[in-house]
Amino acid sequence: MSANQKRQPSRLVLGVAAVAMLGVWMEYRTLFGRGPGIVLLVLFAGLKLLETRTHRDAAVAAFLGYFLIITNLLYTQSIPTAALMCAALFTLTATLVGLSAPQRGQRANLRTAALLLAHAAPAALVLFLLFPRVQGPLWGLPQDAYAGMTGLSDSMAPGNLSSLAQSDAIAFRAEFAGQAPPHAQRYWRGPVLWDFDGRTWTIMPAAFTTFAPPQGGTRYSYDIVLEPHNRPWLFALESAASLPERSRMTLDGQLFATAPVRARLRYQASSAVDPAPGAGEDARLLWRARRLPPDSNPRAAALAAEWRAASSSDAEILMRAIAFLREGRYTYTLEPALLGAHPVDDFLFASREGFCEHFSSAFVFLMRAAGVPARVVTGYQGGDLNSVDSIITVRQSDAHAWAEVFLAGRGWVRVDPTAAAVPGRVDVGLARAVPRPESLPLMRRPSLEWLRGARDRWEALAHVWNVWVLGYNPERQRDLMSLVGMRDADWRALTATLFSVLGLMTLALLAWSLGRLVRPDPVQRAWRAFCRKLAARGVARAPYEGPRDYASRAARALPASRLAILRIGVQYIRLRYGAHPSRPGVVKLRRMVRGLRLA
Amino acid sequence: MSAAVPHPLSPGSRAVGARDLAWLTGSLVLVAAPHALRAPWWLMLLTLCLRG
Repeated sequence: MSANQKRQPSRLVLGVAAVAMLGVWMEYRTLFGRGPGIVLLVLFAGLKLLETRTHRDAAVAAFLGYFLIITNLLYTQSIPTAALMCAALFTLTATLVGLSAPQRGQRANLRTAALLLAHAAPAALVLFLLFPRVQGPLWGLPQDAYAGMTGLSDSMAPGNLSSLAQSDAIAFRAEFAGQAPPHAQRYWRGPVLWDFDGRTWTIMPAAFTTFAPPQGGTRYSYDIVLEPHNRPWLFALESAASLPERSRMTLDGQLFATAPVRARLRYQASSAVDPAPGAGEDARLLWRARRLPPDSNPRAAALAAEWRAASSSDAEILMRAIAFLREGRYTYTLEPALLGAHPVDDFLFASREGFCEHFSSAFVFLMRAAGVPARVVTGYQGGDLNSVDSIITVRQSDAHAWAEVFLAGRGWVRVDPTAAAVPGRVDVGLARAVPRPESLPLMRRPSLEWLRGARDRWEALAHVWNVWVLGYNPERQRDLMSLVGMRDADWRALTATLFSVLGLMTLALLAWSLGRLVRPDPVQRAWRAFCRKLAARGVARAPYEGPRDYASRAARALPASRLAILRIGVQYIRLRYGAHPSRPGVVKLRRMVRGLRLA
Repeated sequence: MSAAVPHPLSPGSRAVGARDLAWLTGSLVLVAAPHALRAPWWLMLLTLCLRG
């Protein structure tokens, strides 16, 4: 085919490409960015297949396929995706091998593809381990990549947490250095909500303080692997006894990272459970912790005023409120009734059913209405102990809200109104506290206990993957390098090591390949030994002589060994020029040559 | 000066066989499958129609 005869894309292909690009633009309102860009690539790969006629076309489509493998990792880097992409890598390589050797059997092509990838694997491993790492995820994701992340919010209205609790997604995993605290003491502190508009609680603007570790209490040290949630919050058992790296603490005891958590983050933390009473509190904060909107929830406000009038201290009001909830026969449900304009009144005196946000909201309202400073704390409660790796997995379904009340001389005291009304929620977890298990996430239902072992195994494997593969960050790389004697290795040292190791590997591969060239294969070796034996008897092989002619001439020259010489010739030709030299055939040839006795 | 005639075994001249085309299609399906689950439905319909 001459240059001016080159096949041009057909009008159909061009037309479809134009229509598809228009469609992508109408769908995304742009042709750039992760989503539209990848959709266009997939489409073009399909169109390329349509016009594939020659090996060159097929090779181009295969290389486009290699690129598409990478694009999948822009969405998820989970084990199933990695396994699927490895399978695709193998089949694409086998396709290219098949294009290069169309006459060979498919099994041989598959073997070659596997061998090629096996040769590349050590280099890939060295690149993974030694390529200088940058802080944060390897792939810079566009902004739209964070849109779908779930997690706690900076506000809480009736229904927020109960809808979050229907998600089985992992919020974080916590690995304790020793014994983990019991389920009922695992309160993972998140956003603290101060301001109430009659329906919704919101955080106050973050104000940071100098970290002062709490005194007393039981200490726990642990590592957290936090899933990305696009917020700067870090979670720790209350109260944090140390600050994780690159974090700060707010006035209300919440941990903040320096930037929103958009990639899986591992940090070390320690906490004190039941610490000694805290110090006093700033008067402005206490004023804020008593503030309520006017004319909101009048029945609850009247009840709180009665308690205030009948009580001699804030602690007594607190006890009255707990007793009120405990004896109120409230129902804990993930599907609470809709509430009206005065949601606290509706919950306390009408519907009498709710999730933890209803209990904590109503409790803090009652406290404030009685003049006791109080605030809502959101976070997670509990978490499941994985039976395989003994790591505690905290899910979105563990989302919880509780209260903190300020008592003179004791500081901020944690009170869990949900635990007062429904003790099972905190002692044994959400699954056993909810009366209707159908509303729970699938894997939380008690009837599916048998599936939990399989899930534990899978999550333990995923944790190893997350920590050692996806979480292989500069710190881990530094730790690994210090194990091999490279302390504080910077990017220059890593790059030099990388190229040195790759160079050594290339040299080793080169030496091995040359060795194969210099050292003939077993069939050739046996044939050469045969030729040497005949040459010693004066029948040397001429350079132009093929095996058949040479064997015939030698047989004529040495009639006593005629049959043996001819048989060796036939066996060599069969092995050398046949489809596949079999191992027994090679052994037989060697034995025949070794056994040849020339008179 | 006349254009050079490509070798009959050059990649641009050799026709791709059914076996290789099947392998290529299968590989691209593997690669595109996760994207197909995220892509707009009309695009998948278009792609399937084209292949059909």
